[in-house]
Amino acid sequence: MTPTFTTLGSPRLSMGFDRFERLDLGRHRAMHGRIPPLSLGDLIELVERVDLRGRGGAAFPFGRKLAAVSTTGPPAVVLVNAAEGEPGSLKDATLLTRAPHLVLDGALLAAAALHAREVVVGVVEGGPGESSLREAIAEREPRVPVRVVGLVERFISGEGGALVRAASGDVPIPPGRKVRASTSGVDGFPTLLSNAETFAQLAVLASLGPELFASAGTPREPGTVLLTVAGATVVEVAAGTPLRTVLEHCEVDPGQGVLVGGYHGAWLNPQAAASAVVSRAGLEAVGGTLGAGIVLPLGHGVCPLEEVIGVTTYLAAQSAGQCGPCRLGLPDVVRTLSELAAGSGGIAAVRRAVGIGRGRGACNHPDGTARFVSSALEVFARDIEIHRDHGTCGLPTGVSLPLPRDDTAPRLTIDWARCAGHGVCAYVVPELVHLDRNGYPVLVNSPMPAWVEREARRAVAMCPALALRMTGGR
Amino acid sequence: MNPRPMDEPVTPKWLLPVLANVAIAVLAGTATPPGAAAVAAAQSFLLLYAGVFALVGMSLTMIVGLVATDRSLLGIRHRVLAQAVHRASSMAAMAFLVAHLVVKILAGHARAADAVVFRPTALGLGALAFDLLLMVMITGLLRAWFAAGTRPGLWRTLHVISYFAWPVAIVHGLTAGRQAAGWVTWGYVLSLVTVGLALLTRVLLVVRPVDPVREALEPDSPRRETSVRPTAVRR
Repeated sequence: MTPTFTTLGSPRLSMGFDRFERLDLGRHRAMHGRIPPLSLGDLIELVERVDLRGRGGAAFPFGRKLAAVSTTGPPAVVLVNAAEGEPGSLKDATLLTRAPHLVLDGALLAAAALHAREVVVGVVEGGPGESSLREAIAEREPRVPVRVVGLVERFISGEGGALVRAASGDVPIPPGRKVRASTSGVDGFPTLLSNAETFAQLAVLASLGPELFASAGTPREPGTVLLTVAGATVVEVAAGTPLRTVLEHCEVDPGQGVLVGGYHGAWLNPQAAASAVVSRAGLEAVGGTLGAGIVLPLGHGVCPLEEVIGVTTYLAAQSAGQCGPCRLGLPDVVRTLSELAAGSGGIAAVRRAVGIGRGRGACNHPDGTARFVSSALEVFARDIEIHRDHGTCGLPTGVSLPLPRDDTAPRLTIDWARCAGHGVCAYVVPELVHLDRNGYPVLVNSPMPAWVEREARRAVAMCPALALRMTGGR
Repeated sequence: MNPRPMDEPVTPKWLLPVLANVAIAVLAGTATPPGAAAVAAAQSFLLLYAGVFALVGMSLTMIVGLVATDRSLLGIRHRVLAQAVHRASSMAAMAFLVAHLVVKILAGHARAADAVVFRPTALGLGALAFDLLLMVMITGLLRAWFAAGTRPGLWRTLHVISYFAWPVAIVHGLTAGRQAAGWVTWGYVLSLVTVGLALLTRVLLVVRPVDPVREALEPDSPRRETSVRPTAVRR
C-alpha cells in the first residue's frame, strides 16, 4: 500500500512532494541545495540551538547523542534507523521512497563531522524504501561508505539495540543487557544511532539555518513533525498544530478515541483529542505521547475492546521470547483482556497482568504494551462496563486498526471431542495455553511466534488424549 | 522452568562432529592390541548382557509408560517427567535390542533372518517381539502425526500392541540361551503381574460406560477404548 502524502502549512522535509513522486539527486539539490560540511562543534551548536530531538519515539536530545559519540577513540559509525516495525507508521518508508537524499544528506553530514568510518541504514527488507535508497546511493558518490541492512519487518526490529545487532550481522533482537550504542554499537564501534526522520530534519536544519528552521513550530519545539494518520496518510505539520486540524485535514473522525504514539503509545478520549496540539508537550499534557508520530483514530461502530485485544495479541506474538516478563506476561495480558471482554474477568486482573512487566525485560516492549492497555482501560471504560454486564457490547469485532496479517504461522488446534482436560499442554507451553476453571485448555488465539514452535510441537506429541495438533505452518 | 535460546536446532550442533570423532577414535583404537582386547571384551559382554539390558529397559518402559497415564496420584509435572523417562528408556532398550541382534548374528548364534522371521521356537518368539516392538517404536515416534491425522485413536490401538509384545519378549528371554537364575525369573514374573494389575486398574478407572447419546448415534460401534474418552462422534 502506498501511503498518500499531504502537507499542512509550508513543506520542509516534503518540499517538492507535490510535484515529484521521488526526488532524485538533481531535483533534491534543486530543492535543498548543497549542504556545506560542518565541524562537530558547529554541528552540535546548530542542533542545540533548535533542540533537535530523536524522532523514533524516545525524543532523546540529538546534540547529546552527537557529543556522546565524539570522544576520541576508534572511528564512529552513523546508524540510520529506517526499519519502522510499527504497523501504524509509514513516515520513514515515505521518506526513503520519496526523499532518500534528504536522509542521506543528514547522515553524511553527521558522518563527516564525526569522521565516521561508515554509514549504515537499517531498512525493511524488500520494502519500497530499500530499492529507492540503494538507487539513491548509486546516484551519488558518498565520501563515507554507505551500507544498507535489510531487516524482516516485525515490531521489535525497529528497537535500537535490535538494529545495532542486525547491522553487526547478528540476530535482530534487543540485547539482553543494555549497551549504549554511543559507546559500543555497530561491530563494537561507537555509533550515532537515530531515526531516519531525525537525519532528514538535520539536513533541513543545516540547509535552512536555525532561524528559518524555527520559523515553524513552537518556541520549545521548533520545526515540523511527520505524522502517520490512520495508518494510511503521512502528513508533515508544524509542531503545535491542533490535533483536530490534522484529523480534519486528513478527513478522519476522532471516533471513539485516538491512539497517539503507536502500539506503545496511549489512547486519548475524543475530548482530549479535540483539545490536544501536536507536539511532545502538547500530547503529554493530555496523557498521550508523540512517539514516532503515529495517530490512529478508532472509528465508531467497532468494538474497542476487541480492537485492543487484537493489537495486544499481535504485540504478544511479536515478542522475541527471550525475557520472561514479556514471554509469559503478555499472553497473560491478552488472557485477562479476553476474560474482561467476555464479562467473566475484571479490570483489576488486567491491571495486575499489565503491572508485571513494568521496568523489566531487555527492551520497553512490555512497558509500552502496558501503557497501551492501561490507557485503553481508561478511555473505553464505558464499553468495558457494557462488556462486564452483558459479555458483549454487540458491536462488530473485526480488527480495524492496521495489523500485518500472518496466515503462514502455525496454530494449535484442539479436538474438543478428545480433550479430557489433562492439562499437559498448559504445562508444556504456558505461552499459548492456559486452563479454564474446569481444567480445560484456553488457547491464546494468535499466530504462533517462531520461538515457541518447538515447545508447541512437544505439547502436541505429549497430549495424553491425542487431542492437540498443529495446523498451518511455514 | 525452560531457559529457551532462540533458533535452537533439534539436535545440538556439536553432536554430529563429536560422534564422528568418537567413531574414528574407536576404529583407530581397535587397530592397537589393547584396543582390540577392549573391543573383544565389549563384544563378549554384549553377547551375554545386551538382551538382558534390553528386556530390563523394556520392562521399565512398560511400567513408567503406564504410570505416566495416571491422573489420580500424579501431578502434571510428574506425568511429563514420566513420559520423558518412558521415551528415554524405550530408546535405550531398543538400542540394546539392536546390539543384542547384531552381536548374536556376528557370533554365529543366529542367522540374520532369525532376527525378524517368526517361528514357533524360543528364537522365533524373540523375532516376533522385535517386529512388534519396532512397529510400536516407529509409530510411537510418529505420535504427533497420528494426532494430526483423521484417526488419532489408531495410534493407541497400535501402541497397545506392546502389552502383547513385551510378555513375548520375556518368554523369549527366559527360554532362549542360558538358564536364567531363579530370582531373575521371579523378577520378570513380578513385573508382569504388577503391570497386569496396573493395566487392569487403568482400564477400570478410565474407560467409562458408553454414552447413551453416542450409542444412539452410532449403534453399530459400541467401542471401548483404553483411551480417556470414547472415540469421537464423527468417526
